[in-house]
Amino acid sequence: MSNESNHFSDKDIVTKILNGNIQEFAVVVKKTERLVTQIVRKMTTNEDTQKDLVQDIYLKVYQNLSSFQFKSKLSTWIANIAYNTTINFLQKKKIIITEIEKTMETNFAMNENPELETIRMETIEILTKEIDKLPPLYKTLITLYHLEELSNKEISEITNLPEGTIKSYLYRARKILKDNIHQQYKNI
Amino acid sequence: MNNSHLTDEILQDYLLRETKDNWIKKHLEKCSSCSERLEEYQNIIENVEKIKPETFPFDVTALIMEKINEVETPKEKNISLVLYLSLCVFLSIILFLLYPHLKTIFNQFKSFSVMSNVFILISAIGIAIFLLNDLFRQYKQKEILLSK
Repeated sequence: MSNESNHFSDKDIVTKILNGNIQEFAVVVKKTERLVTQIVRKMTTNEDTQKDLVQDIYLKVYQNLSSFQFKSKLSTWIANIAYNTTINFLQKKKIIITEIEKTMETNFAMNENPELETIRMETIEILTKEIDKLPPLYKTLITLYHLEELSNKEISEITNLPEGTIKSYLYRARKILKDNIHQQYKNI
Repeated sequence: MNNSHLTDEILQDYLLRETKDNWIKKHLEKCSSCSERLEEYQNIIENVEKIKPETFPFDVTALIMEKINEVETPKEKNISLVLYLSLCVFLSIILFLLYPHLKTIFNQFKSFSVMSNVFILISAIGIAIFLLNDLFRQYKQKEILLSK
């Protein structure tokens, strides 16, 4: 029911924008910026790049709004554009989105004094730091699933990856997090 | 013994309630190693959900709307230019067609008294102002309807 009403309001907003009410696009941006931010920020680190990507994403959304067919939620469609735009950027820069080995190797080398650092940091801070060390795709999937509370189906619509692959990446991401955090506590 | 431990996938599924098999519960009651791993996963999942969502240091909406307006303004300017050009062409055609008859029309006015000409001119200006005002009012009403 809520999904249906969401589609209705999506339709209202899209119709208004397509009728020439450009300012209504601000509503779309406000409604979806949290999700887009999670995707772009988890996959890239440079602020200028993020600014360019966000502009590029929403410009694509605006220019292709007439092709949106309301088969999914507007936010899912926009998140899909955000994901594809960011992935294309990473591919152009030849950044591998699922490579783990390198991340694992450098994981502990970054902390000169793990004992002091671990005491200083709260569990959430440690976890945030560990998530940041994950490969871009894993970071994004963890965020979309646990923070944005999206289902595997919705994540699949955003990333164009099969649900099975998403599940398997999530297993691996959580295992890496568990092992790294376990290792950190063991080092104390 | 090691082979009988629960896999990471099973532990995660159990935590996320994607599996409710009773044998997992039974195994966890007996196996401290698996219980420990389950607790580690539980800590991760619980704490991931507590992480504050990231934000940008810049105002996304303002940035995007500025960009959209930048893109839209030249488009609107082009449309206005085309409309004005069409209007100019249309008026030029009318003037061109009227040109041979202009003398006859002016001669008609010459035959009227000054007072009659003033009356005709004021009436014509009044009607034009009324029509333009009505046109503008309708345009504003449509604009309000579209922005609702």
